Amino acid sequence: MPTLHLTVNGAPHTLDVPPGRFLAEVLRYDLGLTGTKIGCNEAECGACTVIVNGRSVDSCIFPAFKAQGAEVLTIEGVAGAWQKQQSPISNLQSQPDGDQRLETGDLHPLQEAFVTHGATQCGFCTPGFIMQSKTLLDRTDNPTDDEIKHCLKDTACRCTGYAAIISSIKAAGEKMRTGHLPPPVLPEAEAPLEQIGKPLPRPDAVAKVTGQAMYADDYHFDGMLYGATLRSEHPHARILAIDASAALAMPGVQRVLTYQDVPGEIRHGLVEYDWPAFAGGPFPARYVGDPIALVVADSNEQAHDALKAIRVTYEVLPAVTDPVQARQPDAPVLHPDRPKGNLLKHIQVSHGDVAAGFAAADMIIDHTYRTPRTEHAFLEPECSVAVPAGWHDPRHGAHEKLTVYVGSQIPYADRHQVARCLGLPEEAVRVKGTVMGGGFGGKEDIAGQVHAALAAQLTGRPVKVLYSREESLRFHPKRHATLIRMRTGATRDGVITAVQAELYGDSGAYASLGDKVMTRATTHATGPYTVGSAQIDCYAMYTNNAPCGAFRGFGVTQSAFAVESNMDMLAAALGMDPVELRRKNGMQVGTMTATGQVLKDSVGLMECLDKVETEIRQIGIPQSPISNLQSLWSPVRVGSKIYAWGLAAGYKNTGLGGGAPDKAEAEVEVYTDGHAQIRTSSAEMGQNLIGVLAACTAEELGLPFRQVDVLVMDTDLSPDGGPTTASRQTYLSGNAARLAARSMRERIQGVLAEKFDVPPDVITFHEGLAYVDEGRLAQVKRENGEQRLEIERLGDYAPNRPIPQSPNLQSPISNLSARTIPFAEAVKTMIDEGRSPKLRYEYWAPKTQPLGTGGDMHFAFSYAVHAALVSVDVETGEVAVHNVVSAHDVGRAINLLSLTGQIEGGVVMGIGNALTEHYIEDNGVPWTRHLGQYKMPGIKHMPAMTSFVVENATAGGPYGAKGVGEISSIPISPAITIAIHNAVGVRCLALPIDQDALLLAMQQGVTELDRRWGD
Amino acid sequence: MQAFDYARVQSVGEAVDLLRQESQARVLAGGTDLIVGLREQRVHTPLVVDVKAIPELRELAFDSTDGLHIGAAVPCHRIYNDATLAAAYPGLIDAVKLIGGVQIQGRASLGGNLCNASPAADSIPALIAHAAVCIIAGSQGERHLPVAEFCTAPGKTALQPGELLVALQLPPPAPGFGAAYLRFTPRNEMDIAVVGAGVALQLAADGETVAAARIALGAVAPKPLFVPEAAAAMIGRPLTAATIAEAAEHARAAARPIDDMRGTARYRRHLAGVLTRRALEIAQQRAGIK
Repeated sequence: MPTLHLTVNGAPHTLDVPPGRFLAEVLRYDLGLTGTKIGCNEAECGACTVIVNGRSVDSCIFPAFKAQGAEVLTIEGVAGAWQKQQSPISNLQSQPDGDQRLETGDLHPLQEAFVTHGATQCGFCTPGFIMQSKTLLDRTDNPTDDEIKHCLKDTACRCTGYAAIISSIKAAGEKMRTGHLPPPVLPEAEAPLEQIGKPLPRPDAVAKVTGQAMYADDYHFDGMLYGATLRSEHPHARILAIDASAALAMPGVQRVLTYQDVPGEIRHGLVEYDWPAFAGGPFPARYVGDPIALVVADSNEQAHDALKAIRVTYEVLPAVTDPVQARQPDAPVLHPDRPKGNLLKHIQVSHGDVAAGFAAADMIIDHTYRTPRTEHAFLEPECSVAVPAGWHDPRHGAHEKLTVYVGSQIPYADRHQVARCLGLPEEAVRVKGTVMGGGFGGKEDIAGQVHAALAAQLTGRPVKVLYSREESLRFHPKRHATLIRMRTGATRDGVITAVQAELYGDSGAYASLGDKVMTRATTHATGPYTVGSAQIDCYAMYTNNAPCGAFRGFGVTQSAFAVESNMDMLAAALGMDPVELRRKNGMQVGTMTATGQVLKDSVGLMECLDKVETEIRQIGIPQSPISNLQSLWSPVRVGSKIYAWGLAAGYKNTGLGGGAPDKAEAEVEVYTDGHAQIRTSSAEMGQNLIGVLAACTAEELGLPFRQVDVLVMDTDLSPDGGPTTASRQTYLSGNAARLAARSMRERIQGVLAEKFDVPPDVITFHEGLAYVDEGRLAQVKRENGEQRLEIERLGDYAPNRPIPQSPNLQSPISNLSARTIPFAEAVKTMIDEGRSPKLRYEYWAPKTQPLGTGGDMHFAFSYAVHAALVSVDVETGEVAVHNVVSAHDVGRAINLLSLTGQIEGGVVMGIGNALTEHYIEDNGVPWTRHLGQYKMPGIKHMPAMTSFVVENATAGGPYGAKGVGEISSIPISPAITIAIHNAVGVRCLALPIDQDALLLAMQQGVTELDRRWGD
Repeated sequence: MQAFDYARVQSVGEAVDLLRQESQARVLAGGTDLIVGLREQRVHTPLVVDVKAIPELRELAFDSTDGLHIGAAVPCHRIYNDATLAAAYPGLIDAVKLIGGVQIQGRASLGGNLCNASPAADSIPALIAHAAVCIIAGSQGERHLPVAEFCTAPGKTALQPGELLVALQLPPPAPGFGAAYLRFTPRNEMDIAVVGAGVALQLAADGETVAAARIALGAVAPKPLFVPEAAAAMIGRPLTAATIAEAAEHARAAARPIDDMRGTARYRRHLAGVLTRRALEIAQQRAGIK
């Protein structure tokens, strides 16, 4: 093997590597510098960017030997290099390895800015962004927006929507120029409490900007084997024979596993057990992603090489790839053991008398809409590492149980499904969540967890199953493609009297969460409006396409496109202003949804409409030479482009609803060093749930934010927080954390109340101190007529004792009394009194009712209004989004920085949904096989974004909060298509927008476009 | 990915020898297309010859009499970060800025883009418009070939076994010269071109009459398409909107694209006309400014 000499972050290395190895592999797997990420392995995403001899490169395609003799800088070396540049002595070495709470002062200004401006969410793309933007700041410390966008044009982020990244780079430049890092510019919000409502940086931000955060593929175990999955070549085929003899004879190959090796139940699933861990025997392959065999070998390359040597004999079966055809009686049936053929679920909403409703209507709008299958494109491909019970690793310690390391949205469901397939009790399996590089709904189902666990169990060694980008695209469930016919009837003065809709959802080969997703599409199919009557029928169908499941918006993204498009056409047909029509029918407190739910509180739709309308009136069309538009919606032509605004509204439930018991558990533990830990198995996938949990806990215990640790996603150490889906974790786990911490506070209050002989509720916690609030005590006594006792009681406590200073404040808290002790001492006192420092709280959300029974289907809804300023090029059909103004009613902003990140990220993802994103399959065979073929928005697609936060508190939410994760990407797609109509008069009824067809429609005077790109 | 040997050669002679001995060998300059091809198993080779260390392939030289000499392995960033070149060869600069992201531009080279012979390659229509010539080394010595004749089919070039593309030579611009390259991708900046249009104009001393013109299109034929008839429609005529429209119409008519997932033939043909017109308008401005 040839020898490679190179210098990485100042340290020389000499190592023997095979000639076909790439720099990213050498850094990650040979040198253990796992901060450099591999997102696509084809130079499309930029996650692997490192600096070689002063220039940035995509290290995934940089042959290692091209770095012969080179100086390489990786994310791990950026802070050190900066320190060295600033002063000869670096204090970075004194920081403990992997401490997630490093001081930001030690970081490169870019790293510091990414932390404080919220430019890191899931963090997987962060090292690449920092390395790439460093090359820009090395050249100029005052870059323009255009320079930043050019620099990052091929570096992809799926979480942030890029706005925070741009502001971070500019802030870092300012710090380099002036020594001062400017704070982020955030929307106005209610005055914060101690922690709630503040723009606190994420607890894991520093780990993410320094490359220390450990994602699943960053784990390495001595003696580890690698699994590679053989997948079906056909959308529908019986597996007659699998001959693995040639593969088994190949170098390094240890085992080839098939369905016959599964000791427990072969099928897994989140709702239905219909998805075989391996196709074979009684289970045909039902889509081209279905696994048939797993090769386990000494190296990842050997495992993948051996896949080609496996001979599979297929009996190809007829496939059905259209959900409408799948419902026909003669369609091929995917799951013969199911009672209703290919029908996964028929979902119905029935409200009032639609026949009478339409009879009363003066105007009926009736259109059919199509939405495509789309891909989450989280930047971290799926990876599971399983370690057998009894394995001891020098770095990662002992493993008492079969342990699966994975970044997954539902750790407890993983444990259940792994145990079920392996024939083990659930307690015999531990799922340990790693840092997760994005999810968006795409990491809820089983990916490699079962395979890795099975292989570890059978080989007795740790096994890693890492998906390539192509495999990730091919395998995991997508957003449902839908066909939606929608009829909306209204009176002359704009009162909606009836809505009738028929939806087909293509759930693909397996149920996944298809039933739930399409239920949400159905129940939200009247939009955030009160309608006189409704009849909605939805058919979730099995087909031989890729399975479809959860994806941010959970069905509502699709039905909102149909609802809002119809609303805009209705307004036009009635000659009403579209905002006025929405105001007229919009939900308010006291109105009823189509499922029969009377809304009790927290309906901020009208405020959202007001804020957005006012703002777009303010902005106008900046490109226009005319300052006074006829109406808000008038088009303006400048050169070959026509500009116009469009507006849409939306709403989205928080929580599972529909009668499903919804709960989350959290455990709090307080320590005698004065810190607390909050634990729950809710998933942190980039959305900053951990920051929400830390804030709730710190708020209740009166601790500084940094004195609360968060432990998530460990089925042995953290209680079940339920699935991280349905925008539910701020509400559910936030409440669980808040109430666990509050109960702990009450426990401590009880002990201190005895100690100080005061009522418990005058014991106050603030900034790491516990004290008797003397003012409050005096007031209580006055109320109780007990003033005379005051002097005696004070005498119980040594009056000369110095008042402890708050560790985080320059001056002592004004109302501190002599009876003040540090939180640490309060914990000691409590433990001395025999009380446990650990407390578990099981939070149950308000009860909901099943669909069809009336009553409360959901305990909370979030509302949003989006407006988009779009241009259409009349010569090319090109559509661009220039501005997006949004308002979101989130109940209460828990963390303003993360909230803004959720909004901006959701909006940009929604732009992709409207304009570019389409996972293309041709008769069940994917055409989209590479990240480069899946068009998600890049930094150049980012519009100027103005975001308003509406805080219409909901009584049950933590501090009034409800979900935001999904609503932020819902109204944007129809806002864009409505803007296109306002610009050029063409209604786009199918997504994504086909610019070719749009141009043709404009040229031919066609006003409705229902062909989709690729059809 | 299959295993391959890696050889870093130091001279043109060494490279030519290796390429002659191993007919399946592939040349690696920036490696941006080759590596991805190898990984996807679209490309098979037992030997990768890294030519980045050969001095002739790294040379970048410009003077006003000989014009521009670009070593085949010179990375894009060296070309577009040079202010003199940006002024002299604006069409080429438009194209190299578009090739991949900045991380790629640190490595991707014109030689690699040309030898990859993608019908949609961004640099090739621009090079044709700038009348670039390939300097090719082989065991028999050196030969010269216009870029317009270099690509023969998708992925295929006029290079014979054992030959190596060493450099590109571009003539010097005269006063009144302007050029531009535009591409259209229907959905995304990062995508490959659906249509590309490279144009160059030479105005006569009167600042108005078109003395010479070259127009080439990308992604509308199996190889980058030189369209002399579009240029011919302009030569000797004053550069007016009507002249430009006529040239654009010739370009539109010359395009013979196919339908694929990225766009329909009809749309591509239409865009070929629009882009040619727009590129000519930019080139006109650039010619006027000088």
